[in-house]
Amino acid sequence: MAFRSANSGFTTSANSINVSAPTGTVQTDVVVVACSQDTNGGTITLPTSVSHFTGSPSTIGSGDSQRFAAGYKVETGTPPANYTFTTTGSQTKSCGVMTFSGIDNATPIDAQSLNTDTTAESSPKTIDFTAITVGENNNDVLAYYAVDWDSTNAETHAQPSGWDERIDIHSGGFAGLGAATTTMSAGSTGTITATGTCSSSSGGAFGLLVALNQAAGGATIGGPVLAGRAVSLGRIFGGSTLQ
Amino acid sequence: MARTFNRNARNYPAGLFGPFSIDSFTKNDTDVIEVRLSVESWPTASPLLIIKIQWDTGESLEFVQDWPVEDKFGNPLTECVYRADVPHVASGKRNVVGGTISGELFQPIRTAISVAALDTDAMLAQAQK
Repeated sequence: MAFRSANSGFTTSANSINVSAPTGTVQTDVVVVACSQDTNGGTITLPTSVSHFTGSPSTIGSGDSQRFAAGYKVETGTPPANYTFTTTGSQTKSCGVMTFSGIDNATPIDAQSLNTDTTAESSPKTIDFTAITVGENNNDVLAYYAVDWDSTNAETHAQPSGWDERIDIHSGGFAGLGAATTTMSAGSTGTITATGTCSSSSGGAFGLLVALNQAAGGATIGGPVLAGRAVSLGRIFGGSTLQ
Repeated sequence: MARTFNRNARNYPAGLFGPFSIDSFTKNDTDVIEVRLSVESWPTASPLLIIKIQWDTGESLEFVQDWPVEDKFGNPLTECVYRADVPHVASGKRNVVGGTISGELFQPIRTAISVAALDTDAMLAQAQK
């Protein structure tokens, strides 16, 4: 089993975000989604047929607050064109979709925890996760994380040490989202932390940790490492040239 | 450095716009495609518009904008921002080289448009020096 791909986006104002299925997503894949919203109330509606993780949705604060919701589904048929996230209110939000292949479709979730840290700490903010017990060697473990900054300054996330970053949405302070994956041996994950950075700010944080059950004989899918090349931005809007 | 396209405010009728291509960049110098629209006395109707950002690799994001356009305290926003991140795959970022942007206006609006391909990691590193 393996992480397949991720797709993510951000808006200051749109009420709904349709995140297309990451390219390559197929039937039997497990889809894990999350949404972080800077909010003063309202709700987050996750994509159709997604089951919330225990503790989701969760909220920090009551006035200048942030909400986090996350869940999963098994693609039992042809994946939809889009996974739709809807919120009440035109408020800042980030949404992410990750897909995994070779997961036990009957019991995809091995273990999970969602830590809501309401203690506002100055940047860099340590994002704490509640340890889980991985049931089998080589199970995929994923983390979603978000910080409730009280600033519009640019932010970034650093994934847990040794993990692979899959999503790092720079929101401009409010409602960013990060995600990372790794593979672990059976047993407790122990202490895991990520880091959020946003200058001249402080905040609480959400940390979701999930271990996935591998399917018997599940295949590992990997992609080629593709080299980038230096180029410039080309044309846009009917031929106008970007400088 | 951000590479941007800017168009001053003008009136747009309801209808479909685009797709308009953005090409010749890589996963190494781009983290995000960003679209910014100024809010200039937009009509009080929903939906207002849909912005779609499509990568050449197949992934896309659609943003559905309703009225009112406001922050969480109910204060009107003067600008809407929509961003699509370069998708990730098992080996890292997907090898994007282009994309398109399209829009559907359900109401006539007046707006200025800014589009940018951003290397946010480099921008943040510079800002944190």
